[in-house]
Amino acid sequence: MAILEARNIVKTYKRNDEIITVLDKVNFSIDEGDFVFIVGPRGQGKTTLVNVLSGLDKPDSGLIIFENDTLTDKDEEYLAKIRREKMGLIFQDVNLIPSLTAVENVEAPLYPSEFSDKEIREKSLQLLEKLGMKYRAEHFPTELSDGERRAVAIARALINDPKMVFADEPTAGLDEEWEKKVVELLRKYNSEKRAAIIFITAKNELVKKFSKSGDKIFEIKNGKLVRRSG
Amino acid sequence: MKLRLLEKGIVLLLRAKRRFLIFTLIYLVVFSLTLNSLNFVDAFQTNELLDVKGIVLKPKTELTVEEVSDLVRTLNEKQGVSRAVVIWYVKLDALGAKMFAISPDKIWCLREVNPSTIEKGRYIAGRGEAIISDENQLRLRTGDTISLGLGSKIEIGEVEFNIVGFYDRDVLPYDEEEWIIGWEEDVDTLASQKNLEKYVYSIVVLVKGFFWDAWKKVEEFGSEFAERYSEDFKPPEYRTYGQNAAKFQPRVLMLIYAIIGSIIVGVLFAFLNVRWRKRSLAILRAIGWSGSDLGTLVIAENLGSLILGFVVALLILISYRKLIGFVFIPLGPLTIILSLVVVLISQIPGMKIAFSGVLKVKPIEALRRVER
Repeated sequence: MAILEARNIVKTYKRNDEIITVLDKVNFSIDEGDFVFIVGPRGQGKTTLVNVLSGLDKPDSGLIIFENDTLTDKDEEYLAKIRREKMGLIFQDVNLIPSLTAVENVEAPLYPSEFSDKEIREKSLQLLEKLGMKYRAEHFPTELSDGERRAVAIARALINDPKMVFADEPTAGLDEEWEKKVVELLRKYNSEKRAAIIFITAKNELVKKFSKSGDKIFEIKNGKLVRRSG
Repeated sequence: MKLRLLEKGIVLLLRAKRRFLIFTLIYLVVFSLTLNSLNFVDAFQTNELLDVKGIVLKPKTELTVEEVSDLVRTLNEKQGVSRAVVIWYVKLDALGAKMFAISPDKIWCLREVNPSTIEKGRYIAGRGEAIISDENQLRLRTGDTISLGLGSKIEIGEVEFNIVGFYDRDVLPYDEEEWIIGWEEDVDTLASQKNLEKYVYSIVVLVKGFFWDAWKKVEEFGSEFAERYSEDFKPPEYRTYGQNAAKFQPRVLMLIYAIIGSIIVGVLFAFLNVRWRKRSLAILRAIGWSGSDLGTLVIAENLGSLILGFVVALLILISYRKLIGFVFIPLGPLTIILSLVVVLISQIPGMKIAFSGVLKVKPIEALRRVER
């Protein structure tokens, strides 16, 4: 069953007097438990696609349907609720809150929830432990390495047990060891929770190295999304 | 849940040390003004207000302390009376002067000479100190005069007084003898050594509640005492509101300025807090926080800074009172509560701005920097 569907998505930006089409009639559909790679060079609209799919940005035209619910006509409050309850976002730029510690950053999505402080803390520490980051729990983002910051961002994206994870270049700038760790963690989450993962990357070799049969692979070029396999 | 957001708001605020310090300091200044002004309005910080808050009874003839003790007792038992204070003095015939006995609870009750009427030096703060008029001299019965300056010592009986200040001679009633103000225990010692009689200058009745309650009491007591003590007492002395208003209005104006200042600081803080932290707020929005969640967080930060500024202002004011013993600033719980209520209400516009500000934060801003 399709968990997320994009129909004829068009997104343009105006730069000076020129109109740039970043997403040009993008159509695709992913099912529960899918592991999707979207690959493409820098500046081809990968991040814009994630933003539009997750409801962070509005497309100029087209429909985004998440669990049979059209997101494109919903207001910000509704979209925030969907993101809080059903989606996990790993930003390309990590985007940790500098004045919160690692564990607090992981906890942040659950602060406005009904979970108790104790439950939230336990859950966050478990996630950090899985990433081998528990010993860094009380460190602030500025005290962490790039890989560690990204690990914290991943833990934050998974804290609410999302059905859909958007990972925008989650391995950018990481060494091979961390790269492997990140992909394995997302794979594990994907198989354990049957959550759909959209993994965005600019590196073709990464897709070759980590893709498995059954994965869906798309390529984005000049705003067009083309299916490669799966 | 909202409590957790409030707590996190405070945590975030405390960690953003510079922002926190700047605004706590600004709030501190504004609240000091508010507290001080409100304190003035509520209490009898100066003798001008004493006329409103307290009722001053003066004997027509010279009475001894013993003779008025029953009156003081009666007054203290009356409903609405905080306490009755007797201002007494001894006559120093050789110096042609009256020596008034003052203690910490009477400083403002001697309306003619109190800290606000000091021309030079300072008011007495303890034993061995005295103040005289700015004529800087005492006329002896023999016709001679003794010139005195700050730090001069005069020995009366076996008690030595150090001159610490001068009051304005013009405040004394016309053709009055010289007044010397001394610490109550010293004057008491002097009176017992030289077997001097104590005379009552006035009885000040301090009334509970707000200053407007005093007007009612003045009417009530005035007629009663005029009837009961018509032989010995003048009617209660108090100025009309119009006379007091001239002194009172600048302080009310100061209070209005303080409240306006508090509103401006609140609005500025709310505006800058949202503006400076747009990215963090956008990230929180992106990971699913609602507008109301963000609003709670920002308001907690605002309130945290505000309450801390208020507490520090309060502590400074209390320490100031202890530091400068001769300055009498009554600071009651009612003033503190009222001040807090005033400053909290003054933050409403700022909080509304903060709330509408966070609703305008678009989550896409968390990512835009990378996009570009």
